[in-house]
Amino acid sequence: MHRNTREALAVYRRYTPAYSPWSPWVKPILFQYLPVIHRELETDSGWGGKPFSTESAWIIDLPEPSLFAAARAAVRDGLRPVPLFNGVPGDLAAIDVKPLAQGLLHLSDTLRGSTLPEKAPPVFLLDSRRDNRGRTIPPGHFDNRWMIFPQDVPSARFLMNHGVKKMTVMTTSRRLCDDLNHVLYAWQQGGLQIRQFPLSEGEIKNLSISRPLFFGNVLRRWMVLFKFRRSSAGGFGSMVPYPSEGSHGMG
Amino acid sequence: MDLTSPWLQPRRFTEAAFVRYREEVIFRGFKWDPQVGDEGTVGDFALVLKSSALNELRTLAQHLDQELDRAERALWGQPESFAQLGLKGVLGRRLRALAKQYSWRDDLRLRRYDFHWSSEGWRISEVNADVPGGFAEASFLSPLALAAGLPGRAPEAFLENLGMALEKRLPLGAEIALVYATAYADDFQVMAAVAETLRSRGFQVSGVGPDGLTWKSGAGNRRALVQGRPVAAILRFFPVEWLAELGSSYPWENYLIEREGGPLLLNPGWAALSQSKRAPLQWAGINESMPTWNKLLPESRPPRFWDGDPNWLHKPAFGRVGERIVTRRWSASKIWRKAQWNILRAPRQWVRQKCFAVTSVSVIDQEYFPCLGVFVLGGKMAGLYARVGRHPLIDKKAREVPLLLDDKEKNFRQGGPTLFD
Repeated sequence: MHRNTREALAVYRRYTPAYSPWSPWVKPILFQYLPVIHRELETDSGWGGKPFSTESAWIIDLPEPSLFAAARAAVRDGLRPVPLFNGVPGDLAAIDVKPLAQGLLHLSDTLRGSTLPEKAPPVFLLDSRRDNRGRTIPPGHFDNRWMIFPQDVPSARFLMNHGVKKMTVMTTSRRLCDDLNHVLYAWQQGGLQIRQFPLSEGEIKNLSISRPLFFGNVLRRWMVLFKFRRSSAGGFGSMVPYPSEGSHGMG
Repeated sequence: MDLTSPWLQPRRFTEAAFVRYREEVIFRGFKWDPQVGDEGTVGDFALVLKSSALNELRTLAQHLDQELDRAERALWGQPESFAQLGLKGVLGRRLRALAKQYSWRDDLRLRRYDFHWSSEGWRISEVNADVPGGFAEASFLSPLALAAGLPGRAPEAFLENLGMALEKRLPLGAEIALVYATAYADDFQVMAAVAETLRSRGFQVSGVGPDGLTWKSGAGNRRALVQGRPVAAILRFFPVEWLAELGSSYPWENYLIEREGGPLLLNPGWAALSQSKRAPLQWAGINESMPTWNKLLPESRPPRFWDGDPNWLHKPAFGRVGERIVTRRWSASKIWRKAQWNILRAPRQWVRQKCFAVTSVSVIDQEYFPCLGVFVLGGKMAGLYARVGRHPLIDKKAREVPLLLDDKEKNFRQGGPTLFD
């Protein structure tokens, strides 16, 4: 993947209008590596689920392509997408981020055709493949697994000051990723009502998040890193070959 | 030391210009973490430093570096003192063994000195001698601010100086490995900026996790390989105190010291001797004159359990980005109390340092406390950048602001900053 600054900025601006309070949290990293050729979305797999209520802010924590099918539906229902993708690109990467970059492009087309109000609640987008759970990383592959932390999202106070009182998490099953638990717990402690919508069950349920292990520990970043280390096949990763012509940055 | 303020009037972006500047900082300045919690980390004004102050900083930083080299050499000759630096466990043992086997070397070193303007002139809070950060900030923010319309001059760009330094030491087209924690996008952004700079100078650049290099030894040398290709230099952005966690199956001690036939290490892991915030406690036991350090660094003492004196703070021997620094003056009670039990349990992992009065800068109706990170590479100042916080303790919520120079040397005027479109 190559850095593509000019188009990146144009697409990024569709996600970050000045009037939206959620714009600062749009993670910029994958915008740097948008595909040079914008392929038209061949088929929109469509969203067969329930409409997204704007009475709640949302987190969509699904794998591609469901992630962006749901995200497009959320935009059409009046929610402002806030991608939180913090994975880095690389050849032979454990997590292929190209579908995410492509998805950002296509979702930006949906944004361009929408008229989201200034007070549209946010829908945070997460790739549920981010920790590569259940899969080993072959030797020689680049370990680009990632996690989110409470510092990657607005605080409960900020959300509530901007009209958000509920946060609904859309997941494949009832299982919640550990990193998301930390974020949800922080929000719950701050006064937000947390709900979950597992697609496998088809209905929204109220949640009470238990205090996660090591919540608030400043050494958690170090612990996360070495949890990754111990659970991978090959350690932290491998070299990322950088072509000598045409590209900028890494990858 | 001249006690006249080093600052000229700050220059603030208009709202429209700041939006453009922030975008440029993200897309051309490799700043991919512009938001931390509810705080933006891209500042909307520039600090302006007098040229005379820049010259003073250059002199001070280079003197600090020379003195630190001498201190480090002396400490290397006293491996029995490494435990007092907080170098424990496997890392401590490996370094002690290496110190008994190898003499100190005058390797290429990169350090960052954190300067603060105070009522007593320039002071430093610490040196980052192992994996100093701020490369992109010290290279791109100021030129981008000028491009966005702020007047002034940009100081030297750090990454350009890094590229030139490596060009002098490595053959054209050499392979350089950037070693970092690949799970973290905020580390990746730093490496991306470095890679782009080095590749523009003709180097081959690879990014790899700390256990991603292969090592071959023979005939008294240690070679590093990345995908079978020999590596001429390793730029390590992975803290030395984390290396031991890689486990005994990986020869991570190869990062600790340069060896014959092996790659250039920037920095070699023995930088831990200078990285430890407890190092000043050991300087009394070495026969080296350190007048600049004695003048600029606040007094350092061993930790004291439950010391509530607001004029002192405790910091970990190996901490980063202001993490875990506690003082009765600024820290929440719960955090302060928790730290006390850590101090009691592991006193050799802590140091106590006297607070000093940082002078703030006014921007409209806000007070900001600046910290200048000054890079010294190979003994020469190589760049600098500015962070500002709402309180004197610089932490991860500090904002990075461009640092500009002004030849006109206008006196600092009280009142609002000038707005530029």
